[in-house]
Amino acid sequence: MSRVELRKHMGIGLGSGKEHFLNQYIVLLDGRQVGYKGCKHGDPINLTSRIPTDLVKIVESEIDLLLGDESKANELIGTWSHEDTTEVEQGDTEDDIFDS
Amino acid sequence: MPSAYYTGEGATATFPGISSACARSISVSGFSVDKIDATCLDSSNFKEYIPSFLKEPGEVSATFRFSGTLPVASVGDVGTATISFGLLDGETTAASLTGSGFLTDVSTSEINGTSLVEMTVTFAFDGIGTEPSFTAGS
Repeated sequence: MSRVELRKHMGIGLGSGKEHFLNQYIVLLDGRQVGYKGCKHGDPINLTSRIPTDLVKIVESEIDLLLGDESKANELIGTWSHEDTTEVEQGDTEDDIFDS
Repeated sequence: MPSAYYTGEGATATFPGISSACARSISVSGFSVDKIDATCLDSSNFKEYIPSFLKEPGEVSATFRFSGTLPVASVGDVGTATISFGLLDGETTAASLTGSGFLTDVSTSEINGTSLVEMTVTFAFDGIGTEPSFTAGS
């Protein structure tokens, strides 16, 4: 069963007051928004949540299945080392003082 | 029922050439409309105004932690900006502001060795393509 859902991103125009499609999808993972994906082929997946790399891969592959493009996700940059869930060993970097 | 206290927690901003960088602050200029003085000689008490038929689509600016690249190539290119306000408790999709336009300015803060280097970008809604649009969180 797919964990990723694409929902049309609709919005109310602040000038016209009318609802219209914003040419991008809201990307939901397990029913919760994690990003946006433009409608054009190859548009990047713009993440809005910090999700682990393995989940990013799931999002990319399932969007590929749904839309047939090979878009890559732009990960949220700036993750501090103490937020790095892929780091398994303590004391392997100079800033591991934050891990303790 | 989601709580309705937006603090900016989890907010993100994407612009042409800048996707999901670490935003430190985001500001949205007000959408405005000019007023036209329609006062008549026989008006009383107050001057009279009517709204202009065109609205100012406004701008969005955001400050990011500098990531080592500047999207100067995107300045002037038309694209889409999306400001996501972050998810409140109980929400599955975030409130957002989206519209087409172009980057008008990209700059960095002073590099002085004692404070974080930041990048500030300004995006002007163009009022031509996708009009600035608001989506409520749900």
